[in-house]
Amino acid sequence: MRFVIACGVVGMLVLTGCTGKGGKAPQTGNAAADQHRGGTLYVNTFRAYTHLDPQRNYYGDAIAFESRTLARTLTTFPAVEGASSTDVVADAATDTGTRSVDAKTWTFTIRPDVKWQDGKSVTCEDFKYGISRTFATDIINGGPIYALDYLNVPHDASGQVVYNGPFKKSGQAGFDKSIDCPSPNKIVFHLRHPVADFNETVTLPAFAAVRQDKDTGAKYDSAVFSDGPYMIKGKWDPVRGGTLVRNPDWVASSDDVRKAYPDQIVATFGESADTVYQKLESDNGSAKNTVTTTSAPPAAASTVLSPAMQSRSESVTDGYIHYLSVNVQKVPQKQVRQAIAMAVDRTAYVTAWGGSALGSPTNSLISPLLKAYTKYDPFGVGDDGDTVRAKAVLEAAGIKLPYSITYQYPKDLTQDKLSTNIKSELEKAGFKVTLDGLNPDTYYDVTANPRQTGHVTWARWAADWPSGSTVIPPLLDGRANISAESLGNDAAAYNDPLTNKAIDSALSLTDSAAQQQAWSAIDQQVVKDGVIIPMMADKALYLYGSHIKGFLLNAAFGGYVDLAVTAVQ
Amino acid sequence: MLRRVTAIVVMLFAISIVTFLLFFAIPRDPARLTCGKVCTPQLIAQNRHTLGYDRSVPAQYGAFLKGLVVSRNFPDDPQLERTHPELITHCHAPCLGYSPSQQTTVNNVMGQAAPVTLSLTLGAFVLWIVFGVGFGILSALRRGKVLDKLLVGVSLIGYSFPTFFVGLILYDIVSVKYGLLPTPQYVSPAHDPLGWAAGMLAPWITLALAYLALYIRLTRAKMLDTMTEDYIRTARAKGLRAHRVTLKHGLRATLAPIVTIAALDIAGLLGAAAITETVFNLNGIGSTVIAAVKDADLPIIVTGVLIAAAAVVVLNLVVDLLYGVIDPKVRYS
Repeated sequence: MRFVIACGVVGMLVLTGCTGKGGKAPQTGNAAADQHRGGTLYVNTFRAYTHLDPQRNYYGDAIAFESRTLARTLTTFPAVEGASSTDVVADAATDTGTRSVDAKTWTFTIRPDVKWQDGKSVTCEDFKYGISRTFATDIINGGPIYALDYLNVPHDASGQVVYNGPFKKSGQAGFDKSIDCPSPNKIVFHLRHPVADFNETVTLPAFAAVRQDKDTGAKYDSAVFSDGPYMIKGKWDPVRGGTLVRNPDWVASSDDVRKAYPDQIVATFGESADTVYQKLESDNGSAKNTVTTTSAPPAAASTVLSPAMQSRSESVTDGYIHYLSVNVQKVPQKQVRQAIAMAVDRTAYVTAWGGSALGSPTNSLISPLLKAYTKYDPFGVGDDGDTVRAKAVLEAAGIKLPYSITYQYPKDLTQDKLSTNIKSELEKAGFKVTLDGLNPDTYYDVTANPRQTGHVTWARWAADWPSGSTVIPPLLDGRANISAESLGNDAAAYNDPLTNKAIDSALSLTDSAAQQQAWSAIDQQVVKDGVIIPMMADKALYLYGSHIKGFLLNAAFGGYVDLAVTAVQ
Repeated sequence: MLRRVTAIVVMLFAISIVTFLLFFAIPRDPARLTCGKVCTPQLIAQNRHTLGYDRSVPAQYGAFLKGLVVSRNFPDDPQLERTHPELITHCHAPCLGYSPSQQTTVNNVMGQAAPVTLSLTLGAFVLWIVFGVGFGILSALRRGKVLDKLLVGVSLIGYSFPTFFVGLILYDIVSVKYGLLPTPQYVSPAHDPLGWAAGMLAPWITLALAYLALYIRLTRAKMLDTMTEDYIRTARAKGLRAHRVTLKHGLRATLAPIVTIAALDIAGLLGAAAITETVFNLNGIGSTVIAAVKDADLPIIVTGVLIAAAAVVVLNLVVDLLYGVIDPKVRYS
């Protein structure tokens, strides 16, 4: 469930464009065992996919699209409903991999009938070459960099990897030792440290194969050479989209996941969310065959939820967690942080966001969709919060009231409502709150700046794949996040030696279930310390055309539509 | 004339310098935008280097100027050019730079955007000038009558609604929901002239409505003014037919101020028909520059600002020259 960040938790994308709202009571999709083959499927989406180059692809909508059409990975997540979609399955490999006891060596066998769009077989060398591109961080930028950290490639004294990718080849010998190709269809990964869920890591397109003779470097975004059921017709336009047609060399029997029903897929980017939904509501012409990865905008939500649209609308918990970070340097006393956590009202938050159908209150930084999720109530105040108890905690600790804090949030109408609620709750508990609504375009730049960040800051995050490894370390490992000029993803400026140690020990666990438990323990610890205040698990709401069959929102892919099983009538 | 042209060139340079300085004053980091979800300080530094933002602002401006006369390579990486020349994007002079967000040269980006904006602006211009001046004359001739009041009144409605509102109504309701107008889109007029006109119809109407009322009123007022002039009375006294008096003597004097305003309106739109472009999802210059501002894409921003500025100063010059044609009293010296 690489819910990867449709909307830039790291702050590069425009928040207003992706207030992932929406939702209603979950209902089953209209999936059926066998669908009509043929026709043209339209994917009409507001925001262009940032990258289609597999090694640079890091956003959920683009990953969901590419994984099902152009790039097969060794393993993937199945196109099924509900929680079982997060159980990894074999894709280009024959099974989900074999690991050594210490989880530092992983072996996969590549199926012999996985073909490139020119009929050549996909080999170990192709995967190795594809993965090596991630190391060329000066050219292949923007993608996930797990390969740099995980693969056993030499690092220099300052902790920097010495290999700089297949274009300049400095340190190539060091990289070559990290991935073995004992035969064309066998691939062996040697890792620097145990990675219990490495067979989920390789579901990312960043671990997909790329043919060396087809690589065009920075230009590969518009010329991805496919080993999936579709291939790019002509050129892909990174801004406007493009057309995919069938890859004649894709062998259906080699692929247990992708049904590839439509003959053609046309992706169009750039129409506003309102226009996308206006077209879907009208359901004329090509809109009948259209799906979108743009969640229904607030203005359209009521129409989409109306009985007339019910048969072709669906909502899903999309993996995003909304949370507040309390900066431990600006608010050093634990009791003060805990008082903030007790005072906030999650029920009011959900209501202001758009209602219980559009999100649900949560106390965990880990999404309910993840196996590492544990339901708990850290302060025993329920979802509504308790301002009286919060004030009592402050008074008992001898804190001078009112206690002044600044609350930062990316400014828009909905966020204004949320923050006004939070302000009034905190002020009842004895705080003096200054609201600081910031430009959404540069929001995360400000909160990551140690000189500009506030006492309490809003953020949201989603995991890269269904593991706490892509939530806890990226958000809470101060060593990786904090430098002189940046807090990274750690607006709380949290760099706790005990937590860091717990992260290291969790990462070294070879048992996946034990590891997920360890993530949950760290999650509960930081929440109890009032460093992170989880608020809401987000839901997304989608409408699709009346000729769409097999519509499925896949929890493993950030709740985006799963093109593996989508058909047109 | 030479002095005018020199002044224009100097002005464009000044504008490009100011745009550069303003861009680097914005508190956001274009290097960070390219590095995705995991941004270590090392990766940010590396991106900054690849994008050339680690050089001093004067050095970057110098590279931009140099690109206008000699070609540039992106990334400007001699090592990569030796090992993998096919990965380098060559940008021939006059090179406007490389857009990291669109991953192609700015020349390509603007080459695709310019025909869209030109189609939009010029088509709308034809509509508003024909109907604006036409209705203006009609109103003046029927002064105080029902038709006059109707034309002036109805056009005011179009004028008083903001462009995005009229645009959204035409797009979402008239075109998409009820299909009364063809679905707005841009196709090249070279490939499909009819499809081009059909696709641009709604955007043209939207943009023209915003200007129509102004031109009706302007034409009407100036026309009424002119028609009281002595030479009109003389023309009538000579026994010229009414329509000849109106069109030849009245209209000609009316046109001078209208040409000035029209040229400046066009100039403004060439760089900034952004709202209409955004509403109708047309990838013109305005909407491209807006996207570039969000993506901190400096080369596109600079070029966009330069196009907008150039449109204004060049059309100003054109107006001055046209004046001479329309009104021989003010021939350009």
